[in-house]
Amino acid sequence: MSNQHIASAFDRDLEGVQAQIMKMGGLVEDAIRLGAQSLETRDEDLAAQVRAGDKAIDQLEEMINEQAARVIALRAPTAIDLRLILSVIKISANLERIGDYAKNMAKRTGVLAQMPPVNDSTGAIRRMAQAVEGMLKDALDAYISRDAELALQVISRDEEVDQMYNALFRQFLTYMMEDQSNITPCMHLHFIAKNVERMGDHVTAVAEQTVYLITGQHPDEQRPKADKTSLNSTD
Amino acid sequence: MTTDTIKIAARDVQVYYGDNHAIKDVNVDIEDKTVTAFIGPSGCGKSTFLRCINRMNDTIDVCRVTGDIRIDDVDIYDRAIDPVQLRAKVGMVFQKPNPFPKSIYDNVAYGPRIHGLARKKSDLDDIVERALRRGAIWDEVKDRLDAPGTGLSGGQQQRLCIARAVATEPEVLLMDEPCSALDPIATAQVEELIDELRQNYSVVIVTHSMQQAARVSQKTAFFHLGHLVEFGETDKIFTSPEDPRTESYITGRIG
Repeated sequence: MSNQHIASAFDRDLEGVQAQIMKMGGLVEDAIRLGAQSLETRDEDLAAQVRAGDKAIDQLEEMINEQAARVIALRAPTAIDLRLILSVIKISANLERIGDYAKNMAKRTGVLAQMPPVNDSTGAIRRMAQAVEGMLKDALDAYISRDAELALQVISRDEEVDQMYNALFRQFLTYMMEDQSNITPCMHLHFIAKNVERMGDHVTAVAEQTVYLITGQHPDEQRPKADKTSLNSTD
Repeated sequence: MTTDTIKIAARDVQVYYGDNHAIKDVNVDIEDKTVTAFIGPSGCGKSTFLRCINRMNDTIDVCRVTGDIRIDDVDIYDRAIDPVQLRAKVGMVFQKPNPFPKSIYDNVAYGPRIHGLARKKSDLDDIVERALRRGAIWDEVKDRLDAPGTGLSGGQQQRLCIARAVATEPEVLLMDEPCSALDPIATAQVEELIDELRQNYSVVIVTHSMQQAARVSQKTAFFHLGHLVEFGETDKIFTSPEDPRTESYITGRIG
């Protein structure tokens, strides 16, 4: 199949909106990395920068949705073109949510910087964030290069992030039981860890959209769920 | 799917115009009470295949049809079949509205008269009214049934032609680009009408408008270079077609 439309302006529209997805993805990758870095290094200036950066991400989402609506109205896309437009709408929403979680991490960094550190928890969160950032990078690469294989691989990697979150959940419980003064920082740290775990779910959704875009079918396998903390008790 | 919902079954259909092999190995099952759209680029064979279904190709000397086309499991190319009777059962609406140069009433009454469907004038009146109502044009013409059909607007003429086609109580309605000469409002009216006709008929429509195929049909067949490339649920064809040629065509890429 030729990749070019007879109407070349249609191609330009579709390329334009995908370029914005990649730009948005780049900003979100930065937000994850710098947010986790500010948490670990207790760098309040960097945290403030991450918080401020979220505005640009939100604006890009709005622009992408406007452009997608325009393509639907003017070009009545079908088949691969329709799936592409659906994918940019959904992926931009996923990226926007990840950006919000990164912003929330940066907010809590400001609060945590005022308290004594709790062991090496921030290092563990940064490693978890690094895993999610790597998944996001690969998910976006899979998206733009139409690599369903890579997208499926990203989906399978979410289980590792869930396991990292499980381990942190148990650690935080232990710290809080050991010393009551750990409760406040551990509550914040736990929210951050949970948010990073949620980022992984949104990255997975991006990879799933990529598979749908390429194959026309949603990945049918139930993806592995390793977050079992909702079943945990303190016993 | 059970076989009793199949209205038209085509097997290994070939059509030749002289040396030109226009339709190649077409196999398709067209369902009853369903709108089936034929799409494809010009010259792909979709209209040729449509015209096989009521043997319109018989009127072309150099045209030769082989294979098997059955309606309700009856071979329509059997020697015992009278093409005129067949065309009463398989109505057709054309690209350009072509009312006869007669009154609105006589346009619709023409078929029922030929086929002797009415014994009394009042029976014929009923048939004409029912057909015009099915053609969704009754309210617009009921006070001027004696006026010439050619005096109506394009959209009204096309609905008159649809009324004329349904007047003989056909079971299958073939439409060859019925809206290509109509404005968007008249097109919407005809599309609404097609959706209503589906209650009673098997409708097969050839259209160059992919959006029209998507709007009116439940099944879509894509023809390319004489082959039936893909046939399936319309929503599947327009969201994730199986064949790359279908994808190329419906998304407006060079095939």
